[in-house]
Amino acid sequence: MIDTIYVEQSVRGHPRVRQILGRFPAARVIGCERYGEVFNPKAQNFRLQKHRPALILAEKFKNFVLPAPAGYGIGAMRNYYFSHLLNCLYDCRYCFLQGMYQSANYLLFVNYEDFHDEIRRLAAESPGEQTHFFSGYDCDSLALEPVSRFAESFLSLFRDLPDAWIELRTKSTQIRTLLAMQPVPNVVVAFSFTPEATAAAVEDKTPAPAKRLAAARRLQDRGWSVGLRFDPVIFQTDWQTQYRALFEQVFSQLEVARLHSVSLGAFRLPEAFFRRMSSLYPEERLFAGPLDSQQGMVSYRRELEQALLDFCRTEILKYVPGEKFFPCRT
Amino acid sequence: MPPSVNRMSGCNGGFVHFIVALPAEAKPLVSHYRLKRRPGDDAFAIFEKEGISLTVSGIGKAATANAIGYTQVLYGKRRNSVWLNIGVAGHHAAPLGSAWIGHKITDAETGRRWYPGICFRTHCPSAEIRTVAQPETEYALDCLYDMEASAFAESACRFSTGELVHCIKVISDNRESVIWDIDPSRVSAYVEGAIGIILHTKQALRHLAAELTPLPEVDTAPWTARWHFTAQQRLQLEKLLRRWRVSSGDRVLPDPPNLERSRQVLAWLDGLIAALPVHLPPAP
Ligand code: SF4
Repeated sequence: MIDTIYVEQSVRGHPRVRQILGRFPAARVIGCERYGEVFNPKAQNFRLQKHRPALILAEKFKNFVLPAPAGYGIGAMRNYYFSHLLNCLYDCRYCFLQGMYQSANYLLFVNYEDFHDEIRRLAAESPGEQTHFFSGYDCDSLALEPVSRFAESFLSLFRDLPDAWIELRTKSTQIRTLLAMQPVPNVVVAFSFTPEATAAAVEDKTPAPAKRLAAARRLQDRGWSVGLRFDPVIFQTDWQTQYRALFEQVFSQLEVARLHSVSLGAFRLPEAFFRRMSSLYPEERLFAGPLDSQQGMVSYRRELEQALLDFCRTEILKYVPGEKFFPCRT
Repeated sequence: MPPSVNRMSGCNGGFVHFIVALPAEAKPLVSHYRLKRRPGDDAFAIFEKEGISLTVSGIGKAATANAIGYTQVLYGKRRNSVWLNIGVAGHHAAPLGSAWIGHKITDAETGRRWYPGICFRTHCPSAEIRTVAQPETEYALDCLYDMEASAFAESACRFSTGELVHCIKVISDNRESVIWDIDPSRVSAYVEGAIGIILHTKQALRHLAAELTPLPEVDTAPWTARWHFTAQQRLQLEKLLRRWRVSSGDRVLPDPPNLERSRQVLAWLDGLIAALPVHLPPAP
């Protein structure tokens, strides 16, 4: 799976690095001074790197946890996100990471303990008040778990911080770590879904929605809090039928009363990201669709976007009470 | 500047530029690919055939950088061609004749580093290459020593993406067999011995380069001949024609109706695209 690993000089001896290198005895291991010299150069192509992404093991020095963008949340007033990992095992054509980074290599910051300290500090700022931390902003939270052991490390932290919640955002079925531990009540495992045909078209390398659903069900059965993210909503000609079938499938297989939250999101990208993505994939139908650019953001044309969101909202609310539903995120 | 611009078309999958320092390194490649010497008055010895060029740069960083600039202009300033630097190198212990691909290139003088992205399955091991100004005889570090790779990486990455820019080096000297013993026929024999690896690498890179082949330009001429479009509208027209091509699966456009104004034409095209069913095909 990974045949090239770059290791920053400063973390060569880090136990997490040694453990990861041990998993890939045949990989070429290349030393570098700072990750930026591998990750940031201009003469790189995200699309080509997606064929065989390398893993970069590095140390992060600042900005461990950042305030989440306005409108991003599932019920708390205090919302933060953090990125221990940049980039993803999967290859969703709508993913903004393709427009954001020059490189498709996985950049893993191995100094988890510094993220822990910052999360602890922020949680302690307002005792008694819920603070939400989002982990799947620049990656899929669980897809690389066998390598990163991220969940294993972070969930024990949250067990000791009852007012701090963490959302693991995923399309993955890598739930072994979670199944092996006692459920942590302030953890939400949030699975993203699009209809089967859409996933097959634009979510390359991801487990099929039915498999994600089975993983969600297993977690729910074990007592984990599960969330659902219908984000982004993607247009195809028979989208109503597809989404109606998806909702029916998902809500019939999960215990709705025990769902933590359900959210809905529009397909929206900063214009600069969209330009870069569509020049990487000029033949991509998704990018030739009924899109519009308004105030620096590309999205479906206003009436279509409204129709997509209204329809999905109405359908979801047939299954889910309003207080669990979070309609839109920026 | 090169005296003429040769616009030989690249085969499907991108043009391949070989850069070598020595005629002895060029010889096996010229013979394998049946390249022909470019006639005329070039600043470098250049061999070519459809989709491939080979430039003999001479030894050292400056010569290499110049040769790449010259080649790039000569072949029509293509973007995202494959660039391959083939040559011999030293290593403290690697067996003579063994071939390596560079995964990190360090300029010993300046300390600058490049990390060529290897996005294909290689048929040879990889190593760091240190580019030195004088032949290396100590082989102090565990890396390959050459005299061109850093200039090659720096210059070629101006014209192509790093994943398509690679160095393959064949070991010609080590602590057991010093650099001064090398003669041109042995250099040719070393490169000859690595032809299989060079061939595989070239094919793999060409395959990758094919993904970056831009879609052909849309033809606006029939439209601009019939209606007057402002500069802004021309851009809209191009965008709509591209959208039609992708969304319709490259179907032939129906004949436009009798419309008077360019604005109406754009609206007609937009309506036509909107009426197409949107089916996102399964990922390949
Ligand atoms: S799973 Fe999420 S992070 Fe990964 S490619 Fe898809 S959208 Fe991007």
